[in-house]
Amino acid sequence: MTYIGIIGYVVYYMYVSFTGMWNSVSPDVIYKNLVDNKLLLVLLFSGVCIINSWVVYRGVNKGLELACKFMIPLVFVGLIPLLIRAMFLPNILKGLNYYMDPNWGALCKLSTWAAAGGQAAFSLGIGPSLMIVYGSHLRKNTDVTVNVLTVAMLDTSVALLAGFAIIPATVAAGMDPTSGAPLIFIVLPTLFKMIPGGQILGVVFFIAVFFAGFSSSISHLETPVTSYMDHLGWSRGKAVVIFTLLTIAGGAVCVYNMQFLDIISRWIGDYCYSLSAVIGVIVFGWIYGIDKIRREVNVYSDFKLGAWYNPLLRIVSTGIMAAIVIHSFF
Amino acid sequence: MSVSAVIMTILVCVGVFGGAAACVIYSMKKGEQNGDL
Repeated sequence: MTYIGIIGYVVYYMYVSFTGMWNSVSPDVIYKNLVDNKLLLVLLFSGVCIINSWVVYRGVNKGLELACKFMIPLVFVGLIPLLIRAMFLPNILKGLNYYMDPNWGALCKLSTWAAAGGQAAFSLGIGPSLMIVYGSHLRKNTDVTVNVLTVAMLDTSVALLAGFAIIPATVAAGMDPTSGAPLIFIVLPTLFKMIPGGQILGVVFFIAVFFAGFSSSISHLETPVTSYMDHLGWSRGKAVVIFTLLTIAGGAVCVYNMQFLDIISRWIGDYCYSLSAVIGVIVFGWIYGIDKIRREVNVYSDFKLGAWYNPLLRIVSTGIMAAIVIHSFF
Repeated sequence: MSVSAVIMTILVCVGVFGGAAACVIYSMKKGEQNGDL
């Protein structure tokens, strides 16, 4: 729900950037007005949910696959002009230094590993089981190892590209590269307002963010839809309608009661996703049998998973996931 | 820009973008062989 809510914000900011609203109204006022306009937030949220449900209703091939084939390349294409423009800003080297100069001491902190593991688990959809659902649609003869590597590398590439396009430019402009909603909805519009050609870059950027977010949000609906179709025999239409209505109802409650949103975000985002990832690692690594997994994967894979994979999943992955859970509780 | 930041930029860019490109090219070739594309 939080995720779709943010995409709703992005839809509004596509309108803001098209009209160049930030030239006449301060970006923090635009953001505050949006947050205060509950009815508009519910409408944006419901609109994104309905488009989402239409894509998922069309099925895996005609819906998800077609949408992602179109949207994912556009995320890359949309970020590149922003990256090129950022590299020509004054003081950009200072910004690049801020972004890329490593702080080795941070590697000794549990919080760093927990944050990195949490980001990876969320970004790759391990916590909410998105990869299991997508994996269930693969053909029998698919090379799982190469597919997994490709997903992880492309996910990291987009994150790195977005980081290069945004963080150094923000620092170069003398602004605070804070994270989350204020970065996207206040800091970046302020930056776009300041630089020549910023409005066009803003339009391209928010379209790219919309495609990135929307292509991920459809997988969040596909997960319960596939599960209820497989286990309870529901039709795709019935599952899509029920889960869309539930999401819209939950989203409307969250918009009018931010405390409820905080509770949901805290419990699901911080605890349930982490716990789900830990349970997944324990089930696959310790209960189901890691050798059985390796045998199945290696049948159609050119890159064979050797015995080295056992401690990697059983000890390293379990350790990182456990660190995330421990950190989320304290 | 510090030396460590330059080295890190080169390593990360080559590793991540190069790795992603290699994976995509390999996946496409494999897909062609399997008749997916």
